[in-house]
Amino acid sequence: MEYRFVDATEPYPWPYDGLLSPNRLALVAAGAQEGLAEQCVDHKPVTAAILDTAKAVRAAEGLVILVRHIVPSARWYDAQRIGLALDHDENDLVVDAAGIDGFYGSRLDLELRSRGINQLAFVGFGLETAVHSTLRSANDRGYECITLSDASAPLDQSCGERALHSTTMSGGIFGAIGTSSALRDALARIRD
Amino acid sequence: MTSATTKTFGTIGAASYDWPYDGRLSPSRTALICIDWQVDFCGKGGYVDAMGYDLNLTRSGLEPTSRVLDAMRPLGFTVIHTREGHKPDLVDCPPNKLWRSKRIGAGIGDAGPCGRILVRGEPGWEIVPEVAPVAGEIVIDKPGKGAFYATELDLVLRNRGITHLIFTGITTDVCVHTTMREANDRGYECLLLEDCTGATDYDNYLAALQMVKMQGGVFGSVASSEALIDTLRSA
Repeated sequence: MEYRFVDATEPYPWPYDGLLSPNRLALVAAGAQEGLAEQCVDHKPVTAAILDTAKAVRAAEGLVILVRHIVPSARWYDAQRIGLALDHDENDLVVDAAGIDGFYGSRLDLELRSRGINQLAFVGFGLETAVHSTLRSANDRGYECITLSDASAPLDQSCGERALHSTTMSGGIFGAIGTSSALRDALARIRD
Repeated sequence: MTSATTKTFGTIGAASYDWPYDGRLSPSRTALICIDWQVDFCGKGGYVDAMGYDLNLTRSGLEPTSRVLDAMRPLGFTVIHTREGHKPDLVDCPPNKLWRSKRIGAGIGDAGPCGRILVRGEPGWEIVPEVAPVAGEIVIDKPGKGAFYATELDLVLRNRGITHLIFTGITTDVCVHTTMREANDRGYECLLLEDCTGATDYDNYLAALQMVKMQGGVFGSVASSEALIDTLRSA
């Protein structure tokens, strides 16, 4: 068997079983709504990295998912402008969640299970809020997760850095972290 | 078992807003949630110790938490404890979680100085005596980081009419934050007691507190145990 990993991931080579498979993979763009994206640090370069990666995932026949968070909380304010923050393709899945966690009050888990997807690459807006809440729920559910640091925009630079650091604690308590270019390269190698 | 008093207390000085938002702190509607004060996470020979982290960082919240329990128990607040752990045959442990733990030499289910690591019923899985449950308190066993996933916590809270949650426990950035995020999404009004929690990395602890407070309190609010106790005593 030929093992396939994404290069240079921390703290372990991702995915853990070495079986990177586009038909079991989804790119999950959490916080993909205008009101949240525009509040984030570096949202323009991050948007470009997400779109490039989405293109690579589609080309490999993986699934691209955009998650919007429609939260009934008076404190979630401006982010409630839920126009999609990313251009998408007709085969992409748009999921509306009732929480900052994309699994809460949404069909995300069912869509993933029914397609046999268990490898999730996380990107999006609100690295320390929407992305991290969704990542945490995915990890508890047993999905093998990677967070792509250059394709995830934080609301606060330092909180974003600590959110990535927390992910790598205890041998990868919420999975691994890596770069979007490394995932694109790994997918291109599979196609060749 | 103490019955809840009908007394209502005022707000607690907290950041980024005084808590609770509706100005009514009532023992009948509020629960104290103590997350994972287990030997595995803050005791000698437990899981965190086996990974080589500084235990003082996860133990520092024990004394203030004990004071909070002393203040809240006589007033009839609901007290709930959580424990992370897996069934002895590990059927409830995701394979990647098991693989990661073995890779760093703290394999779930493997023998450790306090019994099998992260396994229900083992000495390392017990709550440390400083903040252990007393008769009548609720204990929730969870297989993951979040106390709402694959547990009866939400049902228990609804049955009791609980709408407000006060959090203590470890570790701040992992199990406490995951649970607080789940609770906040479910509409519970959440407060984290900053001196009653700790993480294996101090900067991650500080950032976790900051993340609660950002955007006007995206996951709730943060206060000291002293501010809570002052409010309970001043009524």
